Amino acid sequence: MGYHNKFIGTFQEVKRILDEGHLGEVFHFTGESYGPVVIRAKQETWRSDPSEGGGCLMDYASHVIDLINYILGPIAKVNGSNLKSFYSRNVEDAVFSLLELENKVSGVLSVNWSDETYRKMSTSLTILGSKGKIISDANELKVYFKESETPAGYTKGWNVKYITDLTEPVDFYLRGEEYSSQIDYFINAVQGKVPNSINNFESAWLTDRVISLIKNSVNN
Amino acid sequence: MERILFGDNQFFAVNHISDEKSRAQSMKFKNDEAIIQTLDYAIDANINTFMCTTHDRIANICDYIRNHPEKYSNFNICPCMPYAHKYANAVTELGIAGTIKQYVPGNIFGTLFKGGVAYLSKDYLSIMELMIDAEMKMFKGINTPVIFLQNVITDLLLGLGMVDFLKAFHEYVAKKYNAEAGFITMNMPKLLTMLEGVGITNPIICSSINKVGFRMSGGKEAYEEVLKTKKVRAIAMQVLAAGAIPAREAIEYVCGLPNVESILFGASSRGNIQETARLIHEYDKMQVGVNY
Repeated sequence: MGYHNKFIGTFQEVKRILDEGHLGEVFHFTGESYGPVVIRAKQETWRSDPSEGGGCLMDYASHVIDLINYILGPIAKVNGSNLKSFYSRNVEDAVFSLLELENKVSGVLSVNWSDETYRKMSTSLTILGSKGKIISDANELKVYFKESETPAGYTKGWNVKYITDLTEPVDFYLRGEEYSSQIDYFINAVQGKVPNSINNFESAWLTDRVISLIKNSVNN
Repeated sequence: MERILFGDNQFFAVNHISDEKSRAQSMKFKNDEAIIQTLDYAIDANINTFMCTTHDRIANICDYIRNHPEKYSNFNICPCMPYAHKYANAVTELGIAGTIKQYVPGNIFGTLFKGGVAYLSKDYLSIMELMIDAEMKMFKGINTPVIFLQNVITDLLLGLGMVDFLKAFHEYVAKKYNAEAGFITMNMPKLLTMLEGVGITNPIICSSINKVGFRMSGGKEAYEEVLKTKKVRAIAMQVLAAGAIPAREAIEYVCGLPNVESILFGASSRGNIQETARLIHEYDKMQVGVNY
């Protein structure tokens, strides 16, 4: 399953900080993604056909959902959603949901593919915990620690790290290291060289389940 | 080529490390006057070549340059094509066939399907030529000594092994525009080998070259080896690795490499433009008399 965000250095670092418990108890999170896919009423393409995977929920929000599942744990419940169509006739252009993880942590999903103030798809996560806060996108990771007890390379207060410091080089580059890393990982997993733990059928199913929970949580 | 080339990322909110900075740039360069003023800062620093994507807004800048011929008589533009987002957005809106119809003049589909499958790849080359012409329209009457193929296309063709297209691009811009072809890539050693394989010698290749090896696929050492031992006119971009390396250290490294003919950088403020140019000249002077 091609959820490439998991191969972006900043998000990998967010996962590491959380897995090692440096943020303490997680209180709340916000997962966002914005971009300029449909910015006016226009001719129909596959993107406006739900049966072909079109629509902001499946095409855009799925990436954020999958990233939340990966970093924070599976989303188990959706407490209400707004699916808004600004320009499209057959599909939604934005998804706003109240989420709840298996461990009862609450979060907000805010995704809109009709926002032309973004040059391209921009995904970000904000996570608030008892020991600090993380704001991360694909380029920049900002971490705030309340106390001086921090992971190596960080100090109390705000820390800013850039993707340039968190990216592993790839053998061949085409539009982002993450795509090459993802393909390499896939091939290595097929060959049994790495554990098949990222983007497997189970994680894809968990993401699909949330998509269906969101659809069912829309109160018309 | 000139030693220093001025880039355009800052004008179009392209920032590789911060979405916030990108938004700030988008605000700063909302009006074309702000772009023209920054280009004038570059000219004041004796940088007379602007390397830019074929973004729609560049057409306005070209109009301004044409309307002020005395001011820009020594000014060159190196177009980098295509501006990928323009086509990606068009494909979203119109589909692939619709996009070709929109950007390629004439009834291309009549020509394309007339000859059947046997002529398909040949006709793709003529589509490419028509698209180059469409992209070049805005530069009419302006000096364009080198015309670049953007890395997204160069590297896609490189990855697919479609070297015929790279060769056709090289030949077409020479024949039609009396210009040299340049190739932007994130995979420089691999590209050079492929270009040499089809008889393109000493090509102009623009790639990331920096002290920390950022976006230097195949490894920094492979790049350094190519620069030392092969014939290539290299342009170094991302020398600061998107801000990861302090300017002095970054420039010192790049100026110390052989065969780097030009350094490409973009900046928004007069101070940063002057300071970067000054550092390049300072380290270039130190290299005089050094033999490789």
